[in-house]
Parts: sequence; structure tokens; C-alpha cells
Amino acid sequence: MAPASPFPWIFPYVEDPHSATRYPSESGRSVLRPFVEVSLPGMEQKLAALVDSGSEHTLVARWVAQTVGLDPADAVHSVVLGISGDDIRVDLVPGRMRLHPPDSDIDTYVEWETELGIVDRWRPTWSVLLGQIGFFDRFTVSMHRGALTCVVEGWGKFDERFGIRLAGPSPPNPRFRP
Amino acid sequence: MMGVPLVAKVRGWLSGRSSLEVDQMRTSEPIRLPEEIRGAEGRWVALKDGKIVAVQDTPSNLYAYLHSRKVTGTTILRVPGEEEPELVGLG
Repeated sequence: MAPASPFPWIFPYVEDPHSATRYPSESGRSVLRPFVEVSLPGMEQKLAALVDSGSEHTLVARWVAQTVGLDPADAVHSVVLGISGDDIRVDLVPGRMRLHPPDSDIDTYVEWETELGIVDRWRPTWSVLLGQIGFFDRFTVSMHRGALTCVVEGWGKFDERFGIRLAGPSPPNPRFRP
Repeated sequence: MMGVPLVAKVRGWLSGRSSLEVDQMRTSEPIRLPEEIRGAEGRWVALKDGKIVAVQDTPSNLYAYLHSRKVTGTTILRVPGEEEPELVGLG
């Protein structure tokens, strides 16, 4: 693999296609999403992933789990999540996630261990949702609508910037080289 | 030597940054998917260098298609339909 460039990694927001037609009375308005690119070990392609600070869990579509051989039978927990108005049981399995810097190839990434929720009924156009456990517990993540960017930095950067001591044990540093 | 534009100076004063710092800042534009996605609504696409390299009906078929052609490092996502609701989180 190629060594990843140092943080910060700056990801421009991505426009949701056709979203402008939902706001015909507001010229220039469209839906802009904080996407990053991730993969799971063994994958040959990257996946668009939504950065969702409101989600407790990091979730992947069933097809992603099947592609890399993640088995719901290996779940360490199961939780019931409210999705699309329904109660959906989601299996949380141990796994690894890779984050790729902007405009990089498949061999450039940081990788970390986490738990991944496998979701059967998946509607979004993205295949991974990055939540508090599995993403925000590994990085300092900043998003700004004015800058239209999502910026990923190291875990301890928040402490340096705001002087707020981080609670709990520091997670192992994501590995730049597997 | 070119002077720092007034707008940049004012922005700098308001933000507390020097006008030089503001002058050196860059703006960010959102990434817009290529026009070729029109016609692929509801299907899964593989993007690379801002272009669509493959389209299939399911993500598994797309992944297998790319593997069979030894194409790697694309970014996979589904193109939403025009009538599809605006999803929040997992929708």
C-alpha cells in the first residue's frame, strides 16, 4: 500500500443529484452531503460513505458485508434500530474499516478495528453510514456548511484545538500501514 | 505588487485573521456528479476520476463486473431516482 498523506484530509461536500428540483422556488439550492470514501479489507473498490454524527453506530449494507465475508452469525451484539419507521434488528459484528484520503487509490488508506452493523433493508444511495462508534471515536471530524467541507484529523486534534480533555481511553491509532 | 482586495480585507477584519491570511485561503466547491448519471437513475454506478466507468442494476453485479475486468479503485454509489425522497441517515 502507499503511505497516506498526513492529516487533515479535506473532503468537499457532494451534491445529491436531482436535489435542486426539490427546491424549485430557491434558485441554486441543492442537497449537499458530507461524504468520504471508505472500503473494508479485501475490497477492490471504494464506497461512498455518509458521515452521520447523529448515528450511534457505523452501518454497512448487506451487500458490502457479503462481499468481504462478514457474517451476521459472528455478531457480538444485536440492536433494534428505528429505520424508515420500522423496528429493524441489526447485527453488530467485529470488523475493520478503511478511510481513503481524497482523490486517492484503493491502496492508500488508514485502517482501524471497530464494530459494524449489517443492515438488510438499505435504501440510501451510499453503502456505508459512519457514526459515533466506528468513526467519531477514531478521528476529530469537523464539518462546516459555509466551507462545504468535511475535515478528518487525528483523534487528539480536538483536545489541542479547544482545550477539552478527551474522556475515556484513547483508541489505538488507526494504522497508516497495515 | 497587487494590493489585497478590499473584500478580503473586510473578511479578514471580521474573522480576526490578517488580510494576507484571508487572501491565501481557498474556497471549496461541492463535488457534482457527472452529467452522464442522467439515465442511470435507480442503478449503481462506479466512478473514477469524475467519470462513470460502469453501471449495473445491483451493487453486487457492479462489483463482479468490475472484478471481471480487473478495474479497481472506483467509488460505488447508487444514483437516486428523480422522484425518490430526500433521505435522512438511513431513510
